[in-house]
Amino acid sequence: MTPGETDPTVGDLESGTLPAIGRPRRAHRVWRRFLRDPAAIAGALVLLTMFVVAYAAPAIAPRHYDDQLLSRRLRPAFSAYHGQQFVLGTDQLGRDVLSRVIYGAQVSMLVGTVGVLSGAVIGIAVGLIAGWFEGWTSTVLMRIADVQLAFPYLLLAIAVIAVLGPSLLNLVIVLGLRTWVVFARVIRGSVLVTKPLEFVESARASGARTLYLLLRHIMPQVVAPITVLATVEFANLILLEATLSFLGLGVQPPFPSWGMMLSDARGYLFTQWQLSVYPGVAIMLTVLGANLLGDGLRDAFDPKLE
Amino acid sequence: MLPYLGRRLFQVIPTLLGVTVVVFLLIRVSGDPTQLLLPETATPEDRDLFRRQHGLDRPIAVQYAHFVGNLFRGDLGRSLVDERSALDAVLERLPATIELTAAAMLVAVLVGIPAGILAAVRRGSLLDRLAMLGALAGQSMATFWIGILLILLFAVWLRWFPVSGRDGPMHLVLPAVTLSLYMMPLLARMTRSSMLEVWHQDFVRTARAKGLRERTIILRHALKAALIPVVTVLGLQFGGALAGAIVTESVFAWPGVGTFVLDAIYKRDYPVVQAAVLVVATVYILTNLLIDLLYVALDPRIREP
Repeated sequence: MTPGETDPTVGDLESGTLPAIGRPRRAHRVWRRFLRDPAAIAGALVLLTMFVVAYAAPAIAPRHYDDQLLSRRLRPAFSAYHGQQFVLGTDQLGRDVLSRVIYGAQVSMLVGTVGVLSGAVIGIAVGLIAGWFEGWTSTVLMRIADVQLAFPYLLLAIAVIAVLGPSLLNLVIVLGLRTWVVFARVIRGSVLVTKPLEFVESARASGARTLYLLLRHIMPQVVAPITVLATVEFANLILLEATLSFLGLGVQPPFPSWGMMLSDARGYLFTQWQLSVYPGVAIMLTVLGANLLGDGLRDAFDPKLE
Repeated sequence: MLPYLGRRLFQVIPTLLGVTVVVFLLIRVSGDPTQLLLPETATPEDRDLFRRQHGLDRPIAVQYAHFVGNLFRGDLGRSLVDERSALDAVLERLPATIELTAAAMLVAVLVGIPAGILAAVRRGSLLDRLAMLGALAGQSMATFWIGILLILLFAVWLRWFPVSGRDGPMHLVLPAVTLSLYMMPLLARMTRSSMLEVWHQDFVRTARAKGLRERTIILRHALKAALIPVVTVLGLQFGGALAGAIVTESVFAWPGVGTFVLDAIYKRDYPVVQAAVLVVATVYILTNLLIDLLYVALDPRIREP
């Protein structure tokens, strides 16, 4: 990090001062800078691997995620049972832990992706509107965002899921509910910064319509903050999903999610402690990948390094 | 100072009202509140009676006014499980949560801020890299998993601390450290970048030119300016800490609001859930107000209109 640089979660992003990528040449420079950052590439590769694992889970998992057999329950890692290998051992119902970790990637990657996409679409729309049309529209929209931020988010998510009932769909709804606020605030900030710039003013003066202005002139300016924010939020959403699943408010059994597996493993802390390790490592790797990618993207977009 | 305080207090009111709307709507999202508030065995006649008794047959705006009216009298309904006042039950659990959160913030501040300062002052050193690597790793671990690992290491294997419960200072250590590790990474990173920012400013250079000792420059001059954004983050983190407390409490069976609200959710005790959400949100909003005032004390420029 260079002096003058602040953390993305509070600094530049909020005020919308991150530089934008406007022209192809600039995008090319960003891309070249990104490729020179080994940590960012490692992060991207980890994430890519997790996506592949999630997509190909039925093909690469040694067994079905709910293949129970009580007589082979709680086996240690690398144990064989009647000639079958269980690389990470078995859980309390005799299910293959490796297969469950592999299938668990599906929940995390799905929730992260859908949560970020839905939050981004709504948030970008709201942010553009609130930034472009100042006045009461802006005030009302931002007040709603403020009220939502007044809650400790996890508490709100828990309360909403408690009422709606736990399911994958409700999980995505609740997580998207959080994400749109973050996007809306950042995008609005960027729009407020970009709007008075000369090239926007002159396009406006020559009679360009609002929608055209937003898409042609404002959107390219917010690509950088959106990209960085998407990776940061992806990491946050995966942690949140794991937490909600750990509390029994996420995907319901028997389908495995990493948080739920850690919750199940709590009863075997004294006897089979490894069960409490593998899913946690999977979460950490995925989130670390997203965080490294996010840091790398932010640095690549940052012109101060030029 | 006073006008600022007044303005700031005034701003809190719409936010608090918004919170009451959300809490009020919480029970209504599913459509029929009697489904949530009455046991599943209730007959249609029971439901009708309940609706009339609680004014659920009246327009929603009237219901909301009624809800807020009760709120001002401290009446948030009764627990469906044991008929106790929901608000009293939550307030009873609040001290344990505050104790945990405060202890965690203390640890996070005592370790995170010095780590950030050292990393900034010795920029590029091994210490800096280790601190930032640790922060990145910490940010990537789920809080409850950190708790599980700490239990495994310090309670199951080393037996230094108890596994769970709240019975004296030894019981506080592991939960407080767990929750502090949730806040520490961002705190350390913020302190570091904020410190780096002021490190090259004129007043620091002047202090150095005067021949002041490094220690004095760091503690007297740079730190005070660098702390301003850190304090803001600390306020924002407090909300996260309250949320993190819910999970941490659940891992360590800590008898605070977190375990209480989770228990209420499993028992479908909605008035208690409502009361808990309202209390925690209020504590959070008031803390942020306090932090804002602290901010003013640190940076006199804000007082100017």
